[in-house]
Amino acid sequence: MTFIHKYPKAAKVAKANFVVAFIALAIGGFFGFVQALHRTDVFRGFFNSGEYYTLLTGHGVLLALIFTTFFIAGLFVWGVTRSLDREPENMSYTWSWFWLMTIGTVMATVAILGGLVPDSSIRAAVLYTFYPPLQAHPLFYIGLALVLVGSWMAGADWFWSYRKWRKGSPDERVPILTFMALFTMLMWYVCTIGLALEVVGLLIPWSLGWVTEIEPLLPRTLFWFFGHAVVYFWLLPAYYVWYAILPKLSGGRLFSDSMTRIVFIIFLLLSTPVGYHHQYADAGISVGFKFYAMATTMLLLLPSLITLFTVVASMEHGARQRGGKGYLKWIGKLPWDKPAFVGCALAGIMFAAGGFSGMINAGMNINILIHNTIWVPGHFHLTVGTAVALTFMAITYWLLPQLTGRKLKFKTLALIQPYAWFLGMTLMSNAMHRAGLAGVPRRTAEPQYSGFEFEPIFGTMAEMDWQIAIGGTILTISLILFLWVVIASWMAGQKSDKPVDDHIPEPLSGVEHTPAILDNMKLWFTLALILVILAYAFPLLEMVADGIFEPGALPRPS
Amino acid sequence: MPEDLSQPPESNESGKNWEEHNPDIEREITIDEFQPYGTLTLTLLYFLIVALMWVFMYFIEFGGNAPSIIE
Ligand code: HEM
Ligand SMILES: [Cu+2]
Repeated sequence: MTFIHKYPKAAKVAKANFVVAFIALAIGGFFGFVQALHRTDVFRGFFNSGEYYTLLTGHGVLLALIFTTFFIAGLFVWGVTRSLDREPENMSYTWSWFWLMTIGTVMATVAILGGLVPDSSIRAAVLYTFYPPLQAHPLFYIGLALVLVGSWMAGADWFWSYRKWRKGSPDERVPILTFMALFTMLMWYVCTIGLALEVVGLLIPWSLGWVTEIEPLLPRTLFWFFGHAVVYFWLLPAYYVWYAILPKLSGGRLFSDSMTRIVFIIFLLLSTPVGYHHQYADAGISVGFKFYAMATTMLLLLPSLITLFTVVASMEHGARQRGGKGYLKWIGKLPWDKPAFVGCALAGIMFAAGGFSGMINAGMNINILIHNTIWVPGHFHLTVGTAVALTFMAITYWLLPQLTGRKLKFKTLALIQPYAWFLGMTLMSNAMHRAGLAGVPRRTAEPQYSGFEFEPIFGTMAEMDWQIAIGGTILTISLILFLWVVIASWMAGQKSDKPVDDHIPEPLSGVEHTPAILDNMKLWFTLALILVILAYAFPLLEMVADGIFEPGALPRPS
Repeated sequence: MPEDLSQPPESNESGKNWEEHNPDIEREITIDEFQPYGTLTLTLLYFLIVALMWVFMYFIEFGGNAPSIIE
């Protein structure tokens, strides 16, 4: 018996979410390939440079927003259903959020792809940050709004299951798979307040022509209210996999239940108030607020370090149970020949590397050094582009058999895939970082200027361009391998009652050692709201007082 | 309290004995026996690299005695 036999309805929803996620991954990945060749001037024949923003919007939105959201929905359906041992409460309701999100996705995608049709009036070349002055067709914003509402309903679905479960088990502790999902969603509810206000209050009326001017700083601020926390909306589900599943794949147990819960609570509390760290270069926000954001950002290193410790210790436990010895020799005993494990582990290593550039980004002064250069995509291809995306791909190798009742096919290709991603990303991302230090801008189709030379600190521009192009190509090949393995296994994998070992052992230090207060969702949610109000109420009031629809409002230098 | 909270109750394997059923596993290590020296080593290595990167950053920002982006 595996998941699909026990919970056929939930399996169907999870699979539907994965289908949308992987289609978005395929289209978005193809655009990434085009970009890597285009902006390095290796090959510019796919599209002309005027269409670059359209491609980049497709890439950013489909990968960072759509692929992630749908995969997360599928993952949480699996985890909540399994750990509460109940199917979703009402399937019509469950399918309604799925279809709402899907319709929204189709609308936004049509708006973006419209930009590739000559003379089309439907376009949305606004990048995945989509704030003014760039303006999209209303279809784009309305589509995104539907995705957002759908995601809220999905969260409500899991809370609904939890409430029902709670009635039947009043004294039990929240199972950890459900705990992590619910806390991620609590954080999502807090941070999407900003996005909803921006999209519904400002962007939709503006794109429909009901208002012609909006105060520029306000939508930017509302966006980044959401824009940092969204990275944790991507990352926490990757942590979910690392905490809940990776220890088992390593042959061990999760090191500690309570550490896991504490980490998710800290993220709920601190993710949203730090948004200003994306606005260090914005005029009109006083240095004090930026400084507060910097300090809180540095505090956020703490849960990531706890995660480093807990996850590595769990893997070490696995390796030692499999006969590993020594200070570092145990690493060799980890299952480096199992695709799901390898993908998660390499994703974790890349994430540790992303920590270096992340610390540079977070510093108020040195941020200026890399602001708006290609260093920034270099950084987030390590984090969301690898830590998250590679973890999601890898864990699909383990989840898919449970959701389809079929064994994985082409295990060798599945094993090559994460190694290839790691190699491609090492090339692409190191070159992006170094090119950024030389001042090469991001989001630019033709970053070479005539009569101007970038001066790299080490290496040459030509070498970096090649690394980006070759790295991007290897990544694309890896992506094709992934899709190939998934489609083949899904369609033609051998049917089995137990296609994969889906048992998850209990943590080493179990829930009996976890203080009850950690499960108090009302308390943590209220605290999170208070922290957000402290960080945002005053500056937002100031901006609103300037006049929401006043074009002339002056930015106020500190 | 069930043996294993992440596992549906009707599961036939018991959580505690997972190691016994698993051919990959040579020996079960309990929480009292487990000494994560490897994790400590890796964490220290990571901190060392972070510290070196900070030192290195000095040369990137100030080494040329000029702003490194705007010429
Ligand atoms: C086949 C793999 C990939 C390749 C070759 C690739 C390539 C690129 C390149 C070259 C850029 C920089 C474009 C520019 O600034 O001019 C970029 C931007 C970006 N990529 Fe990727 N990427 C890949 C996978 C991913 C994944 C998996 C994600 C996220 C899940 C992702 C998210 C982003 C985002 C958010 C941007 C920034 C868009 C913007 O600036 O508006 N990429 N990508
Ligand atoms: Cu951020």
